[in-house]
Amino acid sequence: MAQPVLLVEDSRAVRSFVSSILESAGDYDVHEVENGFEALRALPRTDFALIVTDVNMPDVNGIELTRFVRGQAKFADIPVLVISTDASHPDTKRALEAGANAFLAKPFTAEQFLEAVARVRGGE
Amino acid sequence: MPEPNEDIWDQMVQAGDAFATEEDYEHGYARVVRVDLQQHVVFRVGDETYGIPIAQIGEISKPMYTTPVPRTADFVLGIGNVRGVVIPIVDLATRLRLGQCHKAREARVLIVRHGGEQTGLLVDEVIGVMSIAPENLEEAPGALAGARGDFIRALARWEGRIIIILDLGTLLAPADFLALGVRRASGRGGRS
Amino acid sequence: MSEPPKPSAEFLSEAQEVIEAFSRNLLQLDTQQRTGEFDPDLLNAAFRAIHSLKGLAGLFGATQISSLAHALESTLDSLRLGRLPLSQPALDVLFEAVEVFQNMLAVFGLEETEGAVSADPLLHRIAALSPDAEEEDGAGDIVGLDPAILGVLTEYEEHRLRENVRLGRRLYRVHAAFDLLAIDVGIESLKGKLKEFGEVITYLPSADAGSDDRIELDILLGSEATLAAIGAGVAEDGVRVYALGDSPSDAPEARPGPPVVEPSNPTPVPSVSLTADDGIEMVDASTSMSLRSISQTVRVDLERLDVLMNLVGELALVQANLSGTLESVRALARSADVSRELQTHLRTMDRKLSLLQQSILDVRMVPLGQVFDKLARVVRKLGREAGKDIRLVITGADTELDKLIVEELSDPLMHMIRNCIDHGIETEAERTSLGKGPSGHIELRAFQKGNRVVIEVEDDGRGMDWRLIRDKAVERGVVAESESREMARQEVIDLIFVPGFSTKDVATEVSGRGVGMDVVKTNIARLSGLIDVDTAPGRGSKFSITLPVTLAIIQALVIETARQTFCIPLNSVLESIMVSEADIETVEGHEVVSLRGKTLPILHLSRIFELQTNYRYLDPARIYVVIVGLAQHRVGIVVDELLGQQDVVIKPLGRALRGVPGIAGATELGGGRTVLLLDVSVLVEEALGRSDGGPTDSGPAASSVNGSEAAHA
Repeated sequence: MAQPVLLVEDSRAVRSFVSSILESAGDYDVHEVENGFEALRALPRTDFALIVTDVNMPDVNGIELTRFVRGQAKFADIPVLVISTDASHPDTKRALEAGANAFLAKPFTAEQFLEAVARVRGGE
Repeated sequence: MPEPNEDIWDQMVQAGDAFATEEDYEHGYARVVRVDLQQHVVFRVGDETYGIPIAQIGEISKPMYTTPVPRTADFVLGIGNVRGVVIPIVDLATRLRLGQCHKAREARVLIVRHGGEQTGLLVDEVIGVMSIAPENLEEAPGALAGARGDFIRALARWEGRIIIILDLGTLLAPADFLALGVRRASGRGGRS
Repeated sequence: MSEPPKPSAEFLSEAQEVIEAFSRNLLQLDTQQRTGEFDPDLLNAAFRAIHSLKGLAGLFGATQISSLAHALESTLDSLRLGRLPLSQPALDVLFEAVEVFQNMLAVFGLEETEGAVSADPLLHRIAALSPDAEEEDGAGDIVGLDPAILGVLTEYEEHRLRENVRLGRRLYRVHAAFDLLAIDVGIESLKGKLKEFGEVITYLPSADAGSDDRIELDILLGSEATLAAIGAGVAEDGVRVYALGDSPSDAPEARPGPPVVEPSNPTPVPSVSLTADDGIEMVDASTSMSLRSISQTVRVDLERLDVLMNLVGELALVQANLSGTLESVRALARSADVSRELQTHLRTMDRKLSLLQQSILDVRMVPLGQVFDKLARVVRKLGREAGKDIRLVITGADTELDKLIVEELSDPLMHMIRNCIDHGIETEAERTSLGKGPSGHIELRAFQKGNRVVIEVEDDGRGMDWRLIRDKAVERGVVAESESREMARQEVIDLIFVPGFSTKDVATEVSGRGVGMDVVKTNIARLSGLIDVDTAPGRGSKFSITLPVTLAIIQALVIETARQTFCIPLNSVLESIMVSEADIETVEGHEVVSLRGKTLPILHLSRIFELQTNYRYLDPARIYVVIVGLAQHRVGIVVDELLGQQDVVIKPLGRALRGVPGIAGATELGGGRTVLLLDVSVLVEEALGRSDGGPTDSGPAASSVNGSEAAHA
């Protein structure tokens, strides 16, 4: 059965890039949303196997989303992979502290992305 | 964008008795300027010399690509695109029953304005611009019979030549542009 | 990076979109900066745009764009974090970046363009802007705030929090619950109300344990208003406001979820109570509007619209077949009720199909604002270069025109604006001595007038003296002096559009308008538009461009027959089939083919238009027949080649040629090629013999049997 993945990212092009990597690499069913609010809306409806989120988004940012997911019993076990542009940026650190399993800095290749996905899912 | 007709404008300037250059004024010299002279663009079609008042000419360009239009009269070469506007291009030689325009290197298209619309006239050669005094203009003599007579507004004498001044009203009558059979057919209504 | 994905159209269009949004932010910031105060949200939006661009460009291997975005991102980060003041020079650099990005995008994906656009000068200027040392945020710890809250804020949000405290605003926690399905609507409305009181710093989500369908949010708000005022302002179900320091009644720390502020030391409250009026200033109506309009705009590839249009065409075919079925049903006994019903449905379908077609055309409409934004940048840049302070007033940016027209308008408008600034508007000194205000004004207006759109470019500069234009025109030989004497003032002014007039030296002397105006006029004419000018010396000039709203743009099938190219309006094309010569039969002197059991008359353009005397099929085994017509009236047009589909602008043929039966107009196919557009309804009528006795079909049709046999033999 296809694994549902929640992809939170405000760039349309990045979304389609990530989706295409996931969908061509395995049996994933990617739910694309473009902001934190939509992510909140999508979360309770599907039993997600993975969340991939951008950090820098307006309103509900990726750190807040991660913290929210970790704080809810029914979502707490979903692995969270954070996409950021800069490993050294304080926001990346904060996302990890909030409970993200791993981060991946843009730009990344398809292999790097799949490796990161394997890493966070293995550590489930 | 290069101006292909720059030379023609220069000719117009040089030919103009109505012009006094700034240098003339600087030297304290002014020519006697007649204001009743009419400027005409003079051109050759076949072996004859024609003229059209300069005020009716928008520009003079090199022959452009024309797209033939079916069901039109033989003198309609087709349509051409002049600065974004689609206009009919007329082979003046055919129109004047002088055979066909030869489209040699000297051939030019006069873009004339008449009745608010533009039309291109393909001519064999543009000779220049001349000023004609009213006393040298001879209203169209009835002697010139036939269809061509309708196109002639006046005759003028210039440097020993006879110049036929064309009448754009009759030359460009819209009804003449369609092929003969079509003209009759479209009379039944429908599109016109 | 081993294998960056292909520079997809998606990347280009999104990058373009991001840069345009960035540019809009800058223009608003520029205006606000002049008045002193600016909305921090705008600066953050600019930062986020460049941040997105960096990520995007990185992923798609646009290294040049990515590294410039990287440099710019640091600068914007410093700006939004208050480490670098937002100054005009800083804005200059940012505006320049917009241009550089666009140049880079223009050449992106082309070969051998590496280094075609150099970012080095800009990078140096960006580096020069950077703050000397990373200064710590002035304020120390925020009194009364749980460090756990700080932990989930981004660096920027933390900065805004501190900034609000520094400005003496109070911090509030607004607790709200939303139905998940309507969360965006609910949030949007609450956000709007809260923004009137101050700055929304962030949203902290928490779940309502009771339901999957609801979500609770804590919103951090910085405001100068009192608790009571805010409470009254957001009075609605499920919204509670706490001043940080007040203990929330429902003891939220007992729940899992977001950390909340400890109710310890209250934040100092300014002794003077300010009214909410100041808060309202924070809401820049234009900001929220433009942000909204971005999110409501979807870019659609014109090719995708073509796909839709084709589908509509196919639906029309289905409908035609249904009409055929209707005829068969009618023939059956006792089917009157059924066939009447079927006919009603078919009529409805017909109407809906036309509506669908019209809607697709509507999608092509884009606001002129897309061009106006670009012009606003040009005004700013050129004005600074020329040392003139120029105010640009734009109205009607939401006026819509076909995308094709909007794109083609960019160059001519740019040219006109450039003329305004270079030659029209006087220097500050000159203006002052003339008793005019020191800054020049350019107004860019767009409005709809009937089924046309008018765009006006008006300035309050020197204007043009028609007598000077006349003298120069005579000097240039554009008109004869005798003629010029008889010309009316307006006729003389219009001479600036004449090619011979429009040269630089002349234009500059006549106070500089009309440089290249002939080219502008040509470009406008290409869009079937008109341009007029009105001017008064010393008072300025006004150029008005009048354009058709939709352009007569249609989709056309481009075909070739007898070595001539024609366009057929796609909405009358039902389908194209391929037959061999053997499939063509003759019935009562008319050539026909069979299509799905129906007999279809065919016509040869080469014959009815007498294009070629000895027309032969290019390949008798592969003859293309384009089926055209409406409903049951169908005819096949034989063509040699199907060259493809294209959006074309229909141009009238003029009075002399518009009576040609079967020809509806002309169009430009690029490369200056003018092609005729067929009038299908007339051709179908002729082919079906309705115009009996008409020379155009009786002649060729009568001889068509012999003619075709001779041609094929």
